[in-house]
Amino acid sequence: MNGKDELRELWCTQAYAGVTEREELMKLIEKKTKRFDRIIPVRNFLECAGATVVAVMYGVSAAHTHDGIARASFIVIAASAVWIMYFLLRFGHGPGDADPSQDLSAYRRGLVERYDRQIRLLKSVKYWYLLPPYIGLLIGTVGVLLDHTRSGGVRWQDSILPAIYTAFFAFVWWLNEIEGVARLEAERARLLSLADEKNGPE
Amino acid sequence: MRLPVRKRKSMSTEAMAPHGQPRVEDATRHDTFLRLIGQYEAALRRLAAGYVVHAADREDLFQEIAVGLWRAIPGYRGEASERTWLYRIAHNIAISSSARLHRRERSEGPIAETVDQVPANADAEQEAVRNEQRRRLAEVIRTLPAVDRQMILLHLEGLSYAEIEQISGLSQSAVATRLSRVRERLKEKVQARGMEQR
Repeated sequence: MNGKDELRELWCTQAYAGVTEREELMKLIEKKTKRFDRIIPVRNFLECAGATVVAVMYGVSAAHTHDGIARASFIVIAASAVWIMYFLLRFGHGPGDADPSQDLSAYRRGLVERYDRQIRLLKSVKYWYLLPPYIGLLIGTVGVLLDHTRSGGVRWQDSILPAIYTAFFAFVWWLNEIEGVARLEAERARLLSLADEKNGPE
Repeated sequence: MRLPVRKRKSMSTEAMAPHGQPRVEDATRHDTFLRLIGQYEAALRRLAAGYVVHAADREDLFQEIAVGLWRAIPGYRGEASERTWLYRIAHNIAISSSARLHRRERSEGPIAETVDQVPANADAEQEAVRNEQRRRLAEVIRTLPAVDRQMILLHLEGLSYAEIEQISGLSQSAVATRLSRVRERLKEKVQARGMEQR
């Protein structure tokens, strides 16, 4: 081994698995690009469709009920759905991609900022996504309990529904703020360690 | 040969394109992309070998780089040469993607590295040593920090210090110092392995 040219020769003469057909590669690129471009719009569309259904359903229920507490509960839930739609359309488009044509440190900064923004969004899910409808459901539950108190007493079965929706909300919170954030933080740490400029070779 | 530099175009260029046919810009992008892949495919595949071990991961990485290039072509403004622009994109995507591919390697357990084919007319024993040296070279390169890895891969592909400076953002003197250190390490490791084989 007599220097850089031999290293270069060694590197450049390595064989690799077959060449991809050009047209096949173009189809693949098109497919991957379309799939990537659709992920966030499709997710937002589904969320907004769900929120619209909830808003209409509870809005209609609020208009028809004569019970004050139930009406307040339905209005809060319907308003929460509208608020979630607004939030998703306003902030849910996701951060722009880091530009890979920058130099390494600028690109790394862009990626880290992207991770930080996603982490912040997931950590705030409890405020903009979970808390408003949960408050609406709690108001509704209080209404039911008051009603039952007036008509003979609260039964243990009255706690089943609040337990179920509380468990569901807790699961969604865990999925976002614990599981999701942990995954993103691990990826972020891995990115930083890969791009660590301080550690040289042993 | 250089990429077509993006120019301001009137809205009518897009609006007047016949339905179902590629726009002029799309056709240029398509041709440019195919030309770049034709010209740099071997280098990009070698680059992938400098980041991931498994042949399937290399293929995935190559495809991700190809997607990155496809998406980046319309934004090219001619501020850097085509070669430095392309290698910047390729290395940046390789660094960010290899984090995910690395996790897959770990979850699947250790995987035997792809063995290069031996040319039919080569001396088998000598070629086996060369293959082992190539494998060792790629292995040592993959253990380097990203900046050193990027520099040595660019250097092995024949890029000048000035080009490496444009890609990595480090000064030419820093590039020279780091490269000299990394090169020595690579030579030692690869040579030691070659001696073991003899």
